[in-house]
Amino acid sequence: MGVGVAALFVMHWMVAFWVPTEASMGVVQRIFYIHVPAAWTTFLAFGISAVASAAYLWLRDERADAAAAAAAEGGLVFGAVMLTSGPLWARIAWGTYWEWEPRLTLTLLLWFTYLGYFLVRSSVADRRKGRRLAAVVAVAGSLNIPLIHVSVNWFRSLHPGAVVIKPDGPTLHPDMLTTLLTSAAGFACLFLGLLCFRYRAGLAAEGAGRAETDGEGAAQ
Amino acid sequence: MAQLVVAPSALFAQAEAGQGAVRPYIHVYVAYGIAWLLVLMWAWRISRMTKRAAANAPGPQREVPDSGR
Amino acid sequence: MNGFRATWLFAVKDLRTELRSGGRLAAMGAFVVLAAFLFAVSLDRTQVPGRSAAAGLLWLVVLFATTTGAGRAFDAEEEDGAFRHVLASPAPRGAVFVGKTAANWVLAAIVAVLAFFAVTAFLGVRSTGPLAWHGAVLLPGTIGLAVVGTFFGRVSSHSGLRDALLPVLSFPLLAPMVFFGSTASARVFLGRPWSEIAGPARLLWAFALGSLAAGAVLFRHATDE
Repeated sequence: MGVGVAALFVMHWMVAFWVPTEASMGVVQRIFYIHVPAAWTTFLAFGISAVASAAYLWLRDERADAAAAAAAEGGLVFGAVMLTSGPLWARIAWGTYWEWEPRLTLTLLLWFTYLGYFLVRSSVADRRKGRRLAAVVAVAGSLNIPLIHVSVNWFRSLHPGAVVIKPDGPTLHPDMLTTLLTSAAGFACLFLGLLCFRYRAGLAAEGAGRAETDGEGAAQ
Repeated sequence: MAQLVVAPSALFAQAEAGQGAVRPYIHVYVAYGIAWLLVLMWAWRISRMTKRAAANAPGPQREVPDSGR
Repeated sequence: MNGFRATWLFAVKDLRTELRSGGRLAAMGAFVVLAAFLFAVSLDRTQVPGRSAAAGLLWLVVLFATTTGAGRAFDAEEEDGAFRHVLASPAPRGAVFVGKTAANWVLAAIVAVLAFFAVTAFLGVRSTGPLAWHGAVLLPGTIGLAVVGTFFGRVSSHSGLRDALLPVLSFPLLAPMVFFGSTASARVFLGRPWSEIAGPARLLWAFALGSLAAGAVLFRHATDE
């Protein structure tokens, strides 16, 4: 996590003093250096949550469930970063806060899917069943992720075409690409560090809860 | 007469252009501010969870010393 | 028990129950007509021509009706605990899911036809494209809606939030389907050539069949006791 924070400080310096201003969009384009890494981190988080949820369904291991919940929470946080920075950029760049185009729209929907994940977890009386059903929601919701990337290529839209992940390589100015990758590394390390802490906290809370129940049972 | 009409509207246009130059910076600062706020809120939540779990964790059992009465 | 036979048996059982009691279909049908009426009444047609809104409203009406109906697919069996016997039967869980989805799809298809005529009547719209093309778009659409509605109907039935939770779970997954479906339907209404409609229609089929396969695999995790 320390590496992530350090990389993000370097990124801020680069954005403030080093990276050139984009010609057509001007200074507001600098939101790109948090918007895109936040998007990648969101998909990473939701992907980890989906894989961990699938592992939980298969192995019924509480550790997989703790990892899934921790990653889903991180996905909601970085997803919120992406969904707030995007409109702030779009308003100046394209004159509208929200454009109903597929990638942004489907990312918003994915965010609500994982909100549903936590609603299911917390609203089912039987905790084990709640976790299992939430895992099912996470796996089902992950089907949306490839659809998001495909939609960018399918529909011509306001959202910039995939300037980095393209078959013939990225098309950004080299300094912009360096800044973007520094930011992406920072976001990823920060997320993974917080994920580890959140995972341990979740397991510890689960252990404390189980001990309390066992204690009550013994007292009876 | 024409100058009396044109001059204030030119000033107004200049003021608007100034605001237009500042607005992108505001959007950039707000975007970065929101990003850090959200991440720090998550970090704070994790630290609260950790403290609560540590407080509720079963500690080592201590024997109460026999007073000898 | 053979999977196909089990699927058929569950689908027929649900449809027979529905035909006897008729509650769900009647409620969905009434909902569709009333919703179409209210949408038409709330639109200012001097500003929004009926033809511009018809496809979107059609899909919204079918979405809401199917979600509401599919969410109740397990009610009758849950009430008296009969569903446990269903799960204890030798029928594969996937077959139970596909059978129930098939029954829900029949209801969704009936409701979609009713919705089409209600929306076009209340908005005063005539389709330039052939009705068969509307059918070709609504067929995979209603399958997808029935699949997702049935699956998350089962998931949300365990929750205290139940009816409020079902749209939160199902709408994010169904939104792309509604997008592609309303795009394709709008093009049929406008009399566009099939080459412009085939793309979204293919995506609808891919979504419908993909979600059916995924649902059949995941259903046992949603029903493990």
